[in-house]
Amino acid sequence: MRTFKKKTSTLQSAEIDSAENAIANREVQGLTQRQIVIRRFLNHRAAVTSLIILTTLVLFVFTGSGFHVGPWQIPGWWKHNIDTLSDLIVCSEGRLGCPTLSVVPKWLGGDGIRLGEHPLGQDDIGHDYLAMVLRGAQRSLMVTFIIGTVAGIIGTVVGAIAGFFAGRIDNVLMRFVDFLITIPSIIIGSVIGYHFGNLGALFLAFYLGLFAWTGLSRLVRGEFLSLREREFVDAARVAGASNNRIIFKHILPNAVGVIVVSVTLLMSGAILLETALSYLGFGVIPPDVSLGLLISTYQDAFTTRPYLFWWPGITIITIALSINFIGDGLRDAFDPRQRRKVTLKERRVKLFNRLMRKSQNV
Amino acid sequence: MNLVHLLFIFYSFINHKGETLNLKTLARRSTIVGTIAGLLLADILIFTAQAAPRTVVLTQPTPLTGLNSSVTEMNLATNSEVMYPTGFGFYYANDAKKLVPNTKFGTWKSKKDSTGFRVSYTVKPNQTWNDGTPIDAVDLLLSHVVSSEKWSIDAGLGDPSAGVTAFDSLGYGGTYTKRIKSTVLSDNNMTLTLVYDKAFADWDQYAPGPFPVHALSLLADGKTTLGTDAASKAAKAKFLDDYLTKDTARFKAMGKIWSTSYNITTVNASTNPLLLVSNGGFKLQSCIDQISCTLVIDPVTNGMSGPETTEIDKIVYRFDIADTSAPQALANKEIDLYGGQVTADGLTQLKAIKNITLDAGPQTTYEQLALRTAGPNDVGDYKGPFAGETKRARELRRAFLLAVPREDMIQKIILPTDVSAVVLNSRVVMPSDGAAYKSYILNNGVKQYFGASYTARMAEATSLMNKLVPNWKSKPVVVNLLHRNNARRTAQCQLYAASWAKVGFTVACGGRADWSSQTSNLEYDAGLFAWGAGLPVQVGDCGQTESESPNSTWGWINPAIDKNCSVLKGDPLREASRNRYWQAIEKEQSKNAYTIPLFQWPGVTAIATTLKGVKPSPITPNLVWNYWEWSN
Amino acid sequence: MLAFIGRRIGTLFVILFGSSFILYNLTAISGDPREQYKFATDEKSQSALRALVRQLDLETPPPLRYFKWLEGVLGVFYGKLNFGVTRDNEDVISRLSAAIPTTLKLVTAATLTAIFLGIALGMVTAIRQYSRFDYVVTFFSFLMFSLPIFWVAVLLKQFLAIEFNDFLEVGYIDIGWRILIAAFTAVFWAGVIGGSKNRIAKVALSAFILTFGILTAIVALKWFYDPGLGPIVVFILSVGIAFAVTAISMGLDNRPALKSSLSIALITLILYYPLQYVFDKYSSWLLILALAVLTISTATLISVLFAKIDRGAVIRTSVITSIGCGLVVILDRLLSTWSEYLTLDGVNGRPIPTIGQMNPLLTTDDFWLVQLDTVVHLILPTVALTLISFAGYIRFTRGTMLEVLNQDYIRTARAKGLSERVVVVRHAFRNTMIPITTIIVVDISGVIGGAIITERVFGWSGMGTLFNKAISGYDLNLLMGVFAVTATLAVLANLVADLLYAALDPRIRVGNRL
Repeated sequence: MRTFKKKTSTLQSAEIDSAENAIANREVQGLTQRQIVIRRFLNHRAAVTSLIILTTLVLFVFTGSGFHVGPWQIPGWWKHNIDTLSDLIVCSEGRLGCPTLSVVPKWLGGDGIRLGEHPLGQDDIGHDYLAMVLRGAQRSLMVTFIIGTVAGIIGTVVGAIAGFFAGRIDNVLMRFVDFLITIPSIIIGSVIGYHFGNLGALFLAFYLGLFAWTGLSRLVRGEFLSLREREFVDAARVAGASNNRIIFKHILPNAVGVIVVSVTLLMSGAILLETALSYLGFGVIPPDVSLGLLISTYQDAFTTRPYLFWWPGITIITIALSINFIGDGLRDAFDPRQRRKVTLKERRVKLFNRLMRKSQNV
Repeated sequence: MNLVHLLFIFYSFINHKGETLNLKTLARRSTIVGTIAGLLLADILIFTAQAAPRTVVLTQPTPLTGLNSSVTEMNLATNSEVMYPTGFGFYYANDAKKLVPNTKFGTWKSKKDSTGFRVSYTVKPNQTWNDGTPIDAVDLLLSHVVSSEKWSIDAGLGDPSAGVTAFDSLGYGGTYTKRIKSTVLSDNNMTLTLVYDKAFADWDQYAPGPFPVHALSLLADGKTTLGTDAASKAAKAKFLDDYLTKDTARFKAMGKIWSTSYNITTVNASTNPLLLVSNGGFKLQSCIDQISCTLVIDPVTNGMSGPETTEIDKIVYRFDIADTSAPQALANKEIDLYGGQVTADGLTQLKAIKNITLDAGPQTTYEQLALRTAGPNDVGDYKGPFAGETKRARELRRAFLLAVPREDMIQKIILPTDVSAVVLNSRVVMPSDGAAYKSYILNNGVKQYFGASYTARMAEATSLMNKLVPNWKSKPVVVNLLHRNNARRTAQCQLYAASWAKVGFTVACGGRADWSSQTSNLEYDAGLFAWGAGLPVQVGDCGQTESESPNSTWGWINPAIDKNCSVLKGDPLREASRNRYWQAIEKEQSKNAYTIPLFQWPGVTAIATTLKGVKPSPITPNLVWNYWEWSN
Repeated sequence: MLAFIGRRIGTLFVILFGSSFILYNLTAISGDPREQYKFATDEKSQSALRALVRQLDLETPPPLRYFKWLEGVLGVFYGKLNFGVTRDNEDVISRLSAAIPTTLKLVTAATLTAIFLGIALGMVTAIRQYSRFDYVVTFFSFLMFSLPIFWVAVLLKQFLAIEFNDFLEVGYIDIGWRILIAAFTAVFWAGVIGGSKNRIAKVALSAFILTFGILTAIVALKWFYDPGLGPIVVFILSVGIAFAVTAISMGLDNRPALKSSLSIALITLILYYPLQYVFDKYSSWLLILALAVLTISTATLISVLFAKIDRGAVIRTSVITSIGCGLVVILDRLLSTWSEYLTLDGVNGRPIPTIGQMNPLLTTDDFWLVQLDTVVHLILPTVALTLISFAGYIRFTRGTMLEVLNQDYIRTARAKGLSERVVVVRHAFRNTMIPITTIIVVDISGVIGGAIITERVFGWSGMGTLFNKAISGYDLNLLMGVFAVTATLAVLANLVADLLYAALDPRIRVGNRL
């Protein structure tokens, strides 16, 4: 691991730099762009861990509460669903509906390891809270991905076109962006809610996505404006590459870092936007549930019935964190000039060498 | 911690050769630096907390919008709540929703004779406004000016019913303007007699409120400072003269002042003092726009025109405090008094705070479930399950209402948010009315028809359904329920739906934001909504229950109810007989299974333990109505 | 260029006209302001309803009403701007002019802190990519970013306000807490400074002991009740700032820069007591402004005296140092007001509030007390807003910086023997700032729109509150007032961002785009 602390080490670090690059170059020799990206991504531990966590979470919530495929309802493995009410469990001190989950074994003075009837407890009227969290997470994940996809695609395409072609096209597209920026999406939401009733979470996500791409498109446009003036673009043009090819093969890979970072921020922002809208009463509408709706409904339960607040809260954080880390990994993987990451193995080798040197000194 | 970090940065600078230090030296050095730093920072000052001052800080959900709450657009609860301690009149409303005569201010008596119905209001002598001007019956005249449409037209101020008037007043258009014939001022100017064409219900709620007319008169002259005694007296005399001669120009000028100049939200030393002339226990000292208003005890008028305040000196209203922020603000001792609606967890949080006590602060709003029998006022052709007045329809409605888990609802949703919630058995008298409620519900029919236990009700509902819809298990009756799409209503609906499903009704929950405009939508067979009420009035809720009334959106047509309502709308009745008619109406509603009352909206009042004497009332002003009894 | 700006502003008006027309009509059909009176049967409500219809002109169909509204708005060109009235019959302009300063007060500190912290941390994490510090900062910034603000607010209110005030009533930090805080500080600094294991251990240990010692001293000496810094600490801090600023911007071996920065620290010490006198006697914003001007010009003068070459950079260094020193002096003055503030009637020993933007019980006009009152009310919302918003800046800075650090010209700069500091500060930092500047411009225009939820949970009434009120009460004029401000700012900010981008990045051929 290098630190830029002392002036004297500069030369040395530059040497390491080129040496490392040499290794990196050798390592990726003969590989396609895709293979390089995948390999680099797999080397990013935080990103890979996050990807595993997120995939597990997605599988867990979708198989748990079941989902619709067209007209068919695929049932989940969890016995309760959000439509049925069961009797409230009476627990200590006359409190109702507390969680039956226990993780402390009996020999440690706990209640033994068990799930129980309602592992995460129940809400006021007897809904199983695990079922609600599962459904909520499902909704929130969908909202996140829909917003991310819709906004990501529109933002990138509009930004790329505007930035690449510049001139009049840029002007028209960017003025349209200006126009969209001025209209608060909450208003559109409330108009729709008022006139068409509750159209559901997915629709909400879709129209939020239609409004969320403006920042991204400006960013991509800026990137394209700057990249299109670069030598390699000129070279490609001279070599007779088509606009399409220049955009997708030459400029986009260079801009992908910025795009990925902002799309992931946008996605984790989306889950919070949904939470904020639910808090203000413009988001997902009951009886449908989302994580945002759950934590805004139970924001007061923070100290009194923490399980109602923490489970959806932790799930939100997990989703947002893993998306961000995946984005981080993708960014690094796509960056064509990115220095290779020092792996654990190499660090061990380095440490070993240093120790050897030390022992020699002694 | 920032400071510590800065110090540390500094420390790492002087210690930039840190690599070569051994741990011992380092530890020694750090201790020395730490101690020296601590010593340098410190300057010992013994701090003593002061005794709590005689101040009460309370919250209001919305900011003040103006000082004159009789102006049409200023009819906000906050405005009356803030201004209440600055004025006294002939009566005030207590926590039992009863008018209490304020004999220190004056008295009134009524007389019926051939010329009509006369009520004489006599102001007690030797009272003054806080600028020293004596209070007399001339100060009551403005009340007539801002309530009588006839007077407005006669004085050339415009026709209020057409929306043209000098005084932008809420008072026009009501019973007063319909009944009033004239006003008579006594020779000593201490008694004002209102002459009505005949006696009418709730006439005692129309007592004229005092208004500092001399200040208004001076304001209309463009004055910006308090007048001398003589000037004020002259101004008052001028007002009386203008009143008697119906001086259009003068009243137009005063109307403009009355309607606009009081609409201020910032009050400070530069505010025109004429706007602040008052006669209450407190006077308005300052208001900070959108943030707060501070009232201080008024040494001139405290105890003069009403009960005397002895234990507190200052009342501070803080605006725009969200219900969710209140528990922590109370715990942090930023506020002493909070009234509002909290969630179940909010209530638990409040219960956990040591320095406050909780009181039920029920609201007059109550929740009810209403079933549609026809299109509103016979508009449209309703063909839903509950349509019509046939026996079958009535029994189906009855089965539906019987299956409402009213007790479970209280237990699961309301009780956790209200320390004193009970199942509501009336739509007119509320549990918070105490003994009156207990005796009232003995005869109003709700208990008679829906008072059995939940199990018994479900059994009856099942047997009714077996009779009416034999195949209900395979083909349940579908009911569209209308409600607002908030969390509590949805939970409520889900809870009910589970119970309804057991007796053969399929109800889908999922309300609408625009529920109130959907009440006349014939797609909806039932509605879950709330009604609010202020001071009890004789007509009760005839406005909503009578057939053909503009607010009867559920299509009930019932001659028995109409007959009772026509009596209630007529001559004033004694309380006992008024109750009888109300009970008869409710009995009819229950018998025909039109509607069922569910619960009174929950509310809670949190009071700092040091603050004594607060008795929350369900109507405005709900917290401050007895401020003179407070001590802190 | 001017023609370009002119054309853009022309388009701006068209856009604003279009979006305001659409928004006006959409909002008008999205709800009915009469809703609350729908079922009211009492006489007062009936006349209030009539008044509402008259006052908001609800009989006129919305498209026509829009043009009436527009007429009032266009009054801005002949000095008669009129946004109409709210449903409470208040002038929309007066509401806006009260709300904008409130929002500015609320978000300025937080936005500046978030930008500053975000860029600084973003750069450090980029330079030390994949270090432990990088991971920790990334993790925590994402964590904060993922927290809903009302959640953060509840926590902050509990710990920074209620518990801190309770602590003040007792005046004692539990030994466990002291160890915990010290341990946290140790971990933090060990992470930031890094290096060999031995070095990390030393850093952590000294941070631990120092923090623990200071905390103990604070407790023992009841520093929290009268927390002034005093001339000596002010001087020490000033010297620290002088060193730090010089080290980062010019390098400590640049003698003129170091000398001029240190002289500023010295001047701070010399002027300490005279300043206290001035502060007590003539405090006002005007004075602060005058002092700021004076400070900056003195700093410029001093660096001109010391520096013979590279004057611009030295001047910049000393000006930054002088601003830092000035802030320390003001902080010291504010802190010395603390003990008086604590004993005030409305504060009563519990200085950190959970709600509100000012203490309504504060009756004094004393400049420093009023400022301190504002500061204590700003603490919670500022911390909350900063925590949730700086993650974005960290990520953008880190990403851009990494990209820049991998560019050829950085390699060239290193190869020609420039010190790492010069490479990072002069080459990498500047190019990193190009895209970030444009983001900041757009963000700043956005924050004027108000932080709806933040304002709500902390009981401030700024633009966010207005917006929320307007929507929930279907208050069309109010909503359009808020819209006019935020939309104009948003499109203007985009214009500024475009111009800045063109100005900062020479690679963009401006002519081509215009």
